[in-house]
Amino acid sequence: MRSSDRPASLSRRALPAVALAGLSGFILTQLDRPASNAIGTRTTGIKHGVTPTTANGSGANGPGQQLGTTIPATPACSGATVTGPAVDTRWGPVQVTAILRADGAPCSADAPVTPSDRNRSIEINQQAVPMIDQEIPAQGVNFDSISGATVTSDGYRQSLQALLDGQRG
Amino acid sequence: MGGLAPVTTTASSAWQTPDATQPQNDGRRKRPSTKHNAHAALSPAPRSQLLHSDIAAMLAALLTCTVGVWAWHGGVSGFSKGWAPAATSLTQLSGIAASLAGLVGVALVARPKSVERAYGLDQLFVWHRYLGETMAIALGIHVAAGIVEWAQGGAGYASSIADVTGRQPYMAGATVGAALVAIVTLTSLRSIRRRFSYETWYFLHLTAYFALVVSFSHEIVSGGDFARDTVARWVWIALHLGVIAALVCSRFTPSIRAVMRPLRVRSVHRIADDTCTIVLAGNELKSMRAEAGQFFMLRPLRRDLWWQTHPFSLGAAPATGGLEFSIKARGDASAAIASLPKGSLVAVEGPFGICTPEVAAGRKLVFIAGGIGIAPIRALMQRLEAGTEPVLLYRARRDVDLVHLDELRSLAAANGGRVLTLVGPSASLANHDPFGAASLRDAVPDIAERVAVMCGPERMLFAARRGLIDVGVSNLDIHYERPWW
Repeated sequence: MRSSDRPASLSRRALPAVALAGLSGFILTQLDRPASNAIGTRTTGIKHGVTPTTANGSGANGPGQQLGTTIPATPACSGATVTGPAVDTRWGPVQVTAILRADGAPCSADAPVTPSDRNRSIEINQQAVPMIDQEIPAQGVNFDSISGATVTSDGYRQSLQALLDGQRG
Repeated sequence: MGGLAPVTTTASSAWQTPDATQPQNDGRRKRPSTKHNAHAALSPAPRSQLLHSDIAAMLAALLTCTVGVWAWHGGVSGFSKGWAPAATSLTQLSGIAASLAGLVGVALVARPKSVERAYGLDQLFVWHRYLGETMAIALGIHVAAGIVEWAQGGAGYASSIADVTGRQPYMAGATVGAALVAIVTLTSLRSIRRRFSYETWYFLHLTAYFALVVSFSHEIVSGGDFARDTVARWVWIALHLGVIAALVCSRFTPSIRAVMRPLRVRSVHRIADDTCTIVLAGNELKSMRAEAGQFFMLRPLRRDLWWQTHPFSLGAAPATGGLEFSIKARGDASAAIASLPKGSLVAVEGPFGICTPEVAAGRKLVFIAGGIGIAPIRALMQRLEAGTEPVLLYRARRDVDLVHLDELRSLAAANGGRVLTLVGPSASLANHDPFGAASLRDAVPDIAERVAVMCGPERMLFAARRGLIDVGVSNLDIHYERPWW
């Protein structure tokens, strides 16, 4: 028995673990910065597909085909709904419909056709598309890509650009 | 032949009959061990009703509810659709595997009584270790595949890593959880683990709970199988609640109950320069159950020691008069426990272990004890049935470490058995393996027909196990508790 050794104290033994837990908590709060334009940040009350629509489609929901479009039409934004071409992305087609202002800029848009082969795509697009839709009135075709949904963002942009080009041409 | 071994009678065997006149440290003939005979033996804890098939069924159900759900959602087909879907499938599968291994691992150290009674606490810890390693590997795959999967979105690896480590909701928790699991795993590797004191390591290990908690939300928000499938999500949540319930019922409640109903140190006897027997007694004993060969977790209720528990084997068959433990001062804790004054309160949690007299099953026995590992062997020998003809192979480093030798000899002789000893530092025996097949057969000619019960340091256990298997003892007839700490 080593009488010279006093038994170790709880505080000394627990210190590394407490420090580790504290550090973890701190790192967690520092890391946890969901980007405002990242999918999964449910900051807006947007609900995809509940607003009254000016253009409508119905029927079976086949990948890359159905135009179940729900473009928000407001007094400030009304007019004919224009449909852009389906753009093939690596995950599948993206097709945009939009209502244009008199000057030709989109004042409301949506992508009723998005890649749906993979569950992951559906999950991403269910969140990302409404976020892009929301950016359109202010930013038009040069909207900020959605972090985590860059492929959909690019497809959306291409389809919208082609739509606008078609209207101009 | 071991250089420091005492004079031998047979040239071929390392093991010898101890000289009756050899000075022994437990020379106090009036040792209180016979006192227990005045008290009723504690009744054994009931056997577990759990069957191997029950465990198999539970695991099958668990896998169905998790990996099965993943497959049902198209996880398998993802592997045939190219790199990106394969990365998705792999991320999901490895994530489920890691969580499942973690959950079952935590459920095991909750020490569910029925499982402990069927397999033994040491076996639970062995499985816990395997599951921990599995979890760490699966988590590594999960993180790598997750980053690859995210990068397939086209944002590039730098941006993807930023996304999955915090820009995506709840992923900061997952990142911290993964880092903690990595730390907990690394500190449990034997080479690193040795550098910490047991308690420092143990408290670090507890941060794994924190890791499980902070990584949970990303599983049900981002985990494809649980985010979209309501039934799967609730089954998953229920699984977690079940594990928490197991922790509360089997892990925390017994500890609290032990603290609420402590025993007192009734006596302490020094039996060698660094070895004591300590007897704990109290009214609570009457409601306790235990068997020879089992062990308890002792928690001295003293201001500077209450936060530690240490496992100690019963050193004598348990009786209502007291629980006797033989304690060798090997570290701070055992020294502190051995020096507890009479009347000190000690919380006693248990019993644990399945190395009980039942393992003999009416057959002849060979006991192998190393050093203070004699404690549970002595307890078992006090509960021997006729016809067991026990042979005890008692290995020790020094002569004074051969404790209780007189009593052991008479216990063995009473059942037609004998005691053989081997003394000397292992190094001096290097060119003669005392647990080799030849030595064992020399010492105990009919050893192959016997049931072996062992207790001692890990190296001795593994050496003896190898020797026993070499002489033809079935693996099923070798019983021992692995020292897991």
